[in-house]
Amino acid sequence: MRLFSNRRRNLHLGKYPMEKLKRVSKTTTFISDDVPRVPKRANFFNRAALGDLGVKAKSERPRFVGKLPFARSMGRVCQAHLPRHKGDPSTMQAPIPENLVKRSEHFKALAYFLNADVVGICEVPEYAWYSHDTDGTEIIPKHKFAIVILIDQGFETLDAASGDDWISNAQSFRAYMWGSNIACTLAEYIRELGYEAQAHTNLESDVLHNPLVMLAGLGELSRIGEVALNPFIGPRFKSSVVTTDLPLETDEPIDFGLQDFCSKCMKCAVECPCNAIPYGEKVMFNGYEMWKPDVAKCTAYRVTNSKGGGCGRCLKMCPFNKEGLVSHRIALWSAIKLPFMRRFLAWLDNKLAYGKRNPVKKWWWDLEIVNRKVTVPKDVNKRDIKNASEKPKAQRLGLYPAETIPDPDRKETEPIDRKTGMKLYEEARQKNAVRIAAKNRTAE
Amino acid sequence: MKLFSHRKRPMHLGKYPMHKIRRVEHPTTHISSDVKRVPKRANMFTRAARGDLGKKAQFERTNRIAKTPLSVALRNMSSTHDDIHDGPVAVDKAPITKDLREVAEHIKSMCIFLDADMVGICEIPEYAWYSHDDDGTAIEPYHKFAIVIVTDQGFETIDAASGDDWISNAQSQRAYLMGSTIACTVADYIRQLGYPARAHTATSSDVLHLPLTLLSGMGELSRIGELVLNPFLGPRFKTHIVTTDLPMQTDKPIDFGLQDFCNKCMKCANECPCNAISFGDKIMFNGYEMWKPDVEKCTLYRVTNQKGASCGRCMKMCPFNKEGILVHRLALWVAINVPVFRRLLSKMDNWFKYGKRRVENKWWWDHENIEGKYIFSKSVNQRDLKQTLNSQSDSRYAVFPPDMQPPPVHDDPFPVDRKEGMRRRLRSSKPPNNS
Repeated sequence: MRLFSNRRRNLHLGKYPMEKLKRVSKTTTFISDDVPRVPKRANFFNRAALGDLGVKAKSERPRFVGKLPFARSMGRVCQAHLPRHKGDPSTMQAPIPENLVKRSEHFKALAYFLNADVVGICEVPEYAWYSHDTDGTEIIPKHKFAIVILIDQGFETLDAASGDDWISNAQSFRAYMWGSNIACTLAEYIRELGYEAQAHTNLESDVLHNPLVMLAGLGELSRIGEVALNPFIGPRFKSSVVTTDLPLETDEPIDFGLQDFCSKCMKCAVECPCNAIPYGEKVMFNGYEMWKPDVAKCTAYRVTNSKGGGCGRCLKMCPFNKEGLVSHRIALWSAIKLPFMRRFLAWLDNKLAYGKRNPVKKWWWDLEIVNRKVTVPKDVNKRDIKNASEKPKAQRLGLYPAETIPDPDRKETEPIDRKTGMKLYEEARQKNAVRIAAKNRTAE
Repeated sequence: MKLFSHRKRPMHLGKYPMHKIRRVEHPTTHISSDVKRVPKRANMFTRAARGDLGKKAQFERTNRIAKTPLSVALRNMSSTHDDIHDGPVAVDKAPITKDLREVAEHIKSMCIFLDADMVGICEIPEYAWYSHDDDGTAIEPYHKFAIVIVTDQGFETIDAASGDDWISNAQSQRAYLMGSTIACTVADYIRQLGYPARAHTATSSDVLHLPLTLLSGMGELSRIGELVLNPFLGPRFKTHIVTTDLPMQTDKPIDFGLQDFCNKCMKCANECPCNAISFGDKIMFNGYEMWKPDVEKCTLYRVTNQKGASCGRCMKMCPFNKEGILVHRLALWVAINVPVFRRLLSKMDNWFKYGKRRVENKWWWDHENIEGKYIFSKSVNQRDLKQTLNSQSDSRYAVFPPDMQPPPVHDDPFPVDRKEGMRRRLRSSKPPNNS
C-alpha cells in the first residue's frame, strides 16, 4: 500500500526514478573500439553441452533446467513463444509519429504496461551481435536499435533462498518467461506496424545482452563481472531485448558510482560458492576493462550443482538486492551521493545480516526429476552469511578470451585449457596493473 | 516505495489483505439448485460470430476482431499457448505432502510468485462446466478442483482511457496473456506431480469463470451483472482457471457488503454507453439472483464499436476501481464496515471526478485496421463523467435464459428474439421469493 499517488507520473517513466540518475556519454566500464565478436559456440552453456567443461557437466547440461519440475513448466511456455521471435513485418506500414522522443516514450510505456520493470533504448554496436549462430552460419548485424527490458526476479522468493537451492533456476525462468512475453509482444507489435523487429530472449538471442543493458542506461557492470547492476533492483534481474529498424530516441548510460562501490565491497566474491568472482582489480577482457569472473568455474558449478538447480547466489548476496523500502532508498541515496559512505554501507549490510535466508518466505518444494520421476533430493544448499572479516581466499581464476575459444561450427568437444586460462589471467592482471600505474602517473 | 517491510508476510497471502475480508458459507448471490448448464454455442461472442446478432456484428466479430496492432500482437502471443493448456500426466505421483492446506498454500504461493494478483481455490459445481463444446460434443465434468487466478488489468492505463476507446481490447488481451502464461505453467507443473490439470483461459475454456470466481472467494457479483467485483481491484481484472484433481483445501466465498453497495450505486448503469446495465433490482436468471445486464446490447456494442476497440467502461467507472493508495483503503474500510456511508461514498466518487480520463497519461496510439491497412482512427470515444442520473426502466432490457439459447450444434444463425427477451425480462423482474 502506498501513501502517495503515481497518477501524475507518465507511464513511460516506469516504476523507478531512473530519470533522476546521472547520465554519462560513455559507459562507466571502459570499452575499447576493438571488441571482438564471438560465436554462440563460445557461450559457456553451449560449451558445457558439447563437453568442453568435462564429462560431468556434459551429462548434467541437458537436465540443467529440466531437473526442477517448476522450471521445466516455465521452459515449456518459453518454448511456445519461439515462433514469435522473428517474422516478416506486415507489408503496409502504419502511420506513426515522426517525433523520435514520442516514439520511444510509446514503446517504453507499452513495455511498462506489459509489466516490465525497467526499460531503456540504445543503438546496437556491431560487437553486441554474435558473430555466428550455433550451427556455424554467420550472423549479419541487421537492426540499428535495441529496446532493452529488465525483469525483476522478485525479492520475496529470493529472500528465502540461498541462491543455489532448489528454486534458483525457477527464479531465472520466471523472469525469462515474462521477458519473453514482453519482448515477443513488442516485436510482434512493431512488425504489425510494418517495421522489422526481432525478440532476443534466453532461448534464442543473436545479441549479447550485457553491453546493451549498459548502453541503454539500465545498469553498470559490477564486480560479479558478467552481471550489470541496476541501482533499484540490484543484480536481481534478467534482460530481454527487441532489436528493430524503427528509428527511436536513445538513452545514455548511467553512473551511480558502482565502480567505486564494487571496488570497496567484496560480498559477492566472499559468498560465491565456487570462488569464481575476483577479489582483485579489473582486467582487460575482449576489449572491456572489467572484473572478470572465472566463467568456466561458474558454469560448471551451476550445471553440476547437486544440492540445487542452478545458482544465482551473487545476486542474492549483493547489498543492492533490497526490498526497496524507504530506508533502503535512503541508503541507496547515500551510496550514490556520498562516496566515503560506501565502505561503511557494505560493512553495514553484513552487520544487519542481509543475505540470511528468511524462512517465512520459503514456499517452494525441494523436488528433483531423476530418471523422469519427481523425487525429493537428498541434499540442499543451506547457506547464510559468511563472516565479513574473513580473509580473501587464495584464488586461481582462468581467463578465456576470444583467441582461445572454439571455431564457430565446431561440433566436437574442445576442452578448456585451464592452465593457459590461469596464465592468461595472471598476464592480464599484470598488464592492467602497469596500465593503471601509468594512468596514475599521468594523472599526477 | 513502501514504508514497511513485507518480509514477515507468508507468500501465499499475496499482495492484498484478502484474509481480512469476511468469509461466508454461500456466495452473497443466491444460487439455486437448478442452474442449467449451457453449451459454448450460447456464449454471446460465439453467437455474434455465427450471425445470431445480425450481419454487421457477424462481419465485425469474424473479420475485425483484432483491429488494432497491439491487440493483434497480444492475441498472436496468447495463441502460442494453444497446445499447452493440457498435456500428458506423469505416470508416478510425486512424493508431496498429504496436508491439504500445505498443498493449497504451495499452489497459491506459486501463482503469486508468477505475478498473479490473487488466487483462490474452490470445488467445481457441475453447473460451472459448459454442457457442450463448440463442435457439439458433450462435456463431462472431469476435474474436482478449480484454482482461480486473478490478474489486474492495471490502473494506470485505464486511468487515461474512456473504457471504450482504442486501448480497451488490448487491456483485456494483456491480462489474458499474463493469465494464460500463469495458468499454463501451473497446470503443467501439477501434471508433472502426477495429477491431471488443465488451464482454462480466454482462448479455450470448458468452465464458466464467473461462478468459480464467486465460490473461490475472489469477489461478489456486482450490478454490472456478468462481472465479479473484488474489494481491492474492483472489477478491473480477468480470471484464468486451472482445473485439477490434486486434492487441496478450498476457500470460502467473501462478503464485503457489495450487494448493498451496488443497490445504492448506479454509476455503472448510468455510464454504460449502450444502456445494458440494469438500474432496477435483482432478478432470478438461470438460478442466479442477480442484476442481469442485457447481454445482447452489451455484446453488440463491444463487437461493433466504431470509435474504439471493444468496451470495458463499466469497470473503468466503478467506484471500486482505484489506485489503492492509503486514502482509498480507508474509504474501502468504511464501505465495508459502515453501511450507512455507502450511498455517500458512491456520490463522493462523482464529486471527486473519479472516472474522468487523465488524458496526459495516454500513451497508446489510436490505430485502426481499415481493409487491411492501419490508419489513425478518425473517431475516438471521449467520455468523461455524466453529471445527472438517467435511469432506464426495466422494460427496455432483454434477458435470454437457457431455453431461448441456441442448441449445442447450430451452424446457421439462430437470431436472438429480442421481443420475447424483453417480455421475459418483465416477467422475471418481480422480486424472487427466495428465503
